[in-house]
Amino acid sequence: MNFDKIKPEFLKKLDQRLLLHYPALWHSKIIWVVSYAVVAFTGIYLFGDFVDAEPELHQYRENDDFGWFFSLGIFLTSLMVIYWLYLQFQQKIDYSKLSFGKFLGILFLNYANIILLFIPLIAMIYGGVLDMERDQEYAWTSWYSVLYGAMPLSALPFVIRQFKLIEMVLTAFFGFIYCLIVALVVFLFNDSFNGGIMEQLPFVYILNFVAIGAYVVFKFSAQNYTQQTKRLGFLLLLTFPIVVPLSFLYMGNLTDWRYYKYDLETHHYLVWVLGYGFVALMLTGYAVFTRFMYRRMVFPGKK
Amino acid sequence: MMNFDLIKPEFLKRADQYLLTHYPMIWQTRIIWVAFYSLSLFTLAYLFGDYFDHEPGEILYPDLDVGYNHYLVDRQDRLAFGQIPLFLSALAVFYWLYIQYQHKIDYSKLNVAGFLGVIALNFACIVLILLPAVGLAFSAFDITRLLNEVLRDVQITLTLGLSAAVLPFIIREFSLIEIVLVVFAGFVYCFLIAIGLRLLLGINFNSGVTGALFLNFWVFVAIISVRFYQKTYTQQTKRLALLCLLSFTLAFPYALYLLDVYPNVNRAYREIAHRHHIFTLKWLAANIFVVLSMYGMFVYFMYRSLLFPIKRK
Amino acid sequence: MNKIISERSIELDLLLQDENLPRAINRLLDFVQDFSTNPQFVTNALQISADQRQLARSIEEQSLVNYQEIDQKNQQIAQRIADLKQKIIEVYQLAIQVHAQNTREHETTNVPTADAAFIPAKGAESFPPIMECYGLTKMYRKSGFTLANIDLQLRLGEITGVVGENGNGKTTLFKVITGNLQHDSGKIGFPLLQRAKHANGVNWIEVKSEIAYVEQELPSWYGTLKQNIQLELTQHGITGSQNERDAAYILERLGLTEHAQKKWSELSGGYKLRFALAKALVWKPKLLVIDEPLANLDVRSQRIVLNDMKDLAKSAKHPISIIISSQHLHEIESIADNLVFLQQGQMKFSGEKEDIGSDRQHNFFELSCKLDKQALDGLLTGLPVTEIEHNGLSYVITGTKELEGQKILQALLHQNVEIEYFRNISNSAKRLFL
Repeated sequence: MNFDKIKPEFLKKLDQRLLLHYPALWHSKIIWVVSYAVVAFTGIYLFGDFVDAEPELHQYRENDDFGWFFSLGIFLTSLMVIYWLYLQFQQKIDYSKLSFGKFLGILFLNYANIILLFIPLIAMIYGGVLDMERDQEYAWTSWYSVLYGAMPLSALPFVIRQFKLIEMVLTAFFGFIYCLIVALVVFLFNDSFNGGIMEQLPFVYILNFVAIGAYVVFKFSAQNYTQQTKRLGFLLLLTFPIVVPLSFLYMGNLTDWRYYKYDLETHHYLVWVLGYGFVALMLTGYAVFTRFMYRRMVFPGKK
Repeated sequence: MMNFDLIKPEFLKRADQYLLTHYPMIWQTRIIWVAFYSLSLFTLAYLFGDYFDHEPGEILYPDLDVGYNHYLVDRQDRLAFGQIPLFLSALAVFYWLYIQYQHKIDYSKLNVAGFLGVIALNFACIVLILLPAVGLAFSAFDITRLLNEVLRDVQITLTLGLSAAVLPFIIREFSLIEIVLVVFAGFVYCFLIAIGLRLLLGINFNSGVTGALFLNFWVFVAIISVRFYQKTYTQQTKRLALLCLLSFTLAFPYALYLLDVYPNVNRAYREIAHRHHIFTLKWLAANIFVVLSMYGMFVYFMYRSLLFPIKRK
Repeated sequence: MNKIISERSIELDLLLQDENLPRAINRLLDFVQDFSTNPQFVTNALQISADQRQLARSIEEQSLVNYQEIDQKNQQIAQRIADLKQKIIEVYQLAIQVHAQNTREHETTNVPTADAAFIPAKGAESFPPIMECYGLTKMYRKSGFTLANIDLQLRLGEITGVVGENGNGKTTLFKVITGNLQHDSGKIGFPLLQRAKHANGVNWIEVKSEIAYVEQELPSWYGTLKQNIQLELTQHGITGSQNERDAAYILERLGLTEHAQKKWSELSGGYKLRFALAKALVWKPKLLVIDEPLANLDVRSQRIVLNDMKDLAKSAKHPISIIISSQHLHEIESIADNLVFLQQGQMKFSGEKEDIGSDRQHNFFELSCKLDKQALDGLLTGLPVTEIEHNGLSYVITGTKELEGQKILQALLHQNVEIEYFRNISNSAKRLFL
């Protein structure tokens, strides 16, 4: 894809400046992502409402809008994220000399890139494409999933060159299978799903996560890691955003949390603070682990 | 990376070696191993699936009200025994395509019947890969409505995944990122066409836009065919051909509507996901037999044209 | 054909006399391929090779240190080689007689002739060229580079070396020849590979199945290496026990048997190239196109690969036309029959390597010694030297056609100058780069 002809000159100059002075920033392609996000958001916000169906005509039709515009938009943007990851893969950037603060900054930048790619979808909510409240709620739910799913992806650029694509897919696949097997084993020691397994299973997962995490950290610290250790580390990166919320189950009754949320709706800015604060905390956790893993992988592995 | 040699039975290894040295195209499909893993998992899923699911009488959270409980039960089963296995099966299909990519097989000496035979084998592999998910569904779902919903999802996956049966012939012509970008560009193109038609001509999204895209599809097919026939194709032609191959299953139902097989466009597309009549003879004949045959002939023509040198890179 | 078999027999005898067993075994394997169809002979030859390898390994691992015993075992192997060779010759001559008899009978009484498939082809030079092109041109619009007016003929049993600086069109030429890139103008044909005329000129479907192309960047293999070789054979219609035999033969012939069960990622660069060659040669293509094969090889591996290519190209039964590009000029010259020199997309020289410099006006010599330029110049006063230049590594002495290498050497030796390297490059491809 050659977009050189449509790229404005001033942006090209800015990009060149980043290349010469701030290579890590240049590598994140933030300029182009921001340009795309601004243009797409504006376009959808201004013109989106002209092309969608209006619910006054046919209540049923709005479903098509959600499918045609929002779901398809999510799918296409996911493909763009894959392309962005591919661009990250293309260049080998040396992050080993970055301080923790700068490393964290790059991680936040990566996160911002991914979120910015999905920002135009928000324009569908505010721009009148999604007219019905129910569809808008679904859209916001999807948006929260994006915020969540972007977290492990923002750490990927640091480690992506350590693995082949098929390795990453198979690691995710077998991680999944492993979780299913753990669930089966826990089930075998329980009579049914009721109460018992649903209380024990999250704890077992957290325990597994911590045990594997300790093993990986030990191996990397001792400079005794192999490709299998790296794959386990990759699996930990992917499953971190799933394990952390599970631990909330043990911080109080789940239903109490739900009622607490309803109470917060009267001061909904607190929900935003809590939500995004949680994201920031998770990203910091990612930065700690990824930086540790990255710096250890600068040393030669066992095999 | 993954070494399953220890669990593979010896007689199957010998059969695999025999295929390698006598029938390389059959060997390439890996039908032996696909059937082995698939039938094993299907048996396990069918026999033991029912032990792990929710039964309609069970209550998940006694403290919550009854209606919400049953809803939660249904959603759990649908997710755990329907959607997740289907997702894993789709990943397995991608892995199978990766295996197809690994070896360069020379199909140039096959005639049309040979091509169709290999496509049928590839399709059989895809069906086998989806089989455990079907077995699990039959075993785990107690409510007929849920079972039909899952089978409908399988039907949709199978219909959309028909192009996977022909990808092995041409997959080595493209890099992975090229395939991703072709899919992306295809969607964006269709989107822009739809928006353009809506803005300029006020055409609505269902039959009008679909009709325009259908026409567009055949124009592309004509361009590609001429280019391949005249051996003046470029890498862009190949990408366009890939896009047409991938989107044929989306265009085909409209053809059925034009041929009066279905009374309207909505019905034509919904027939691939009909709530109560899944895997009907009509669907089998149209979406499997006809589509695969047409795929076979086009890919045969495309493959043989690709043996001639490309015009420029 | 009797002449060829007796030449090859003498060659084997000389190798056995020199006690060069590894080379003798390679030539025995080639001998069996060319002059026998009996699978038992192939099996015997492979067994001898495996035994010799085992012996060499034992000596290397020092599990066998008794010189007498080693000598005895070597002699046993040499005897087995000689015996097998003799058996093959006897069977071959008998077959020739039977064939001749049947041919006479056929001419008089229409009795079907004996199967002459085992009789090697009569002199590859009598066949039309494998590939010929005239005025071949290919232009890249973006960069403006043009490969222009290439005239080339490739024949069975001949090795053509393509040399030139980087970016001068070697890979482009190879891609056009192998049907991976379309040329813009000119003609290309494969008289020997194409049975009937095709509307578009070349029936690539037919032609491509007879061409093996080993690219510079080797793609990864998946599965075991032997499996890949067998798959290649099966795809060319060689199945069953013949498949097993041919795979075993090529692996043994190229010294790869020990690595056959390994995976691609476990191989060094040199072995990867050798396996790629094995895959290309196992099904006996008519044309082998190979791009920069020597780049990643150590000196010993280069010698092995070049010898193997030369032996296999000049096979009596399955001669191959090989076209090979490389920057290793000296090595390529040692095996090539013809050379092509490309410069900025133009063919500056094409023909037999002996013809390089045949129309020259000057002689050129390369010299490495410890003298500085002034001293060297003084030393060579009196000789018809026109220029002395230092290229960073060695001196290049240019003189008239009367300037002889012996005279330069005499002048240097007379003054007790220590000579590190000296070579007459007047007829070498190297002078094309000056």
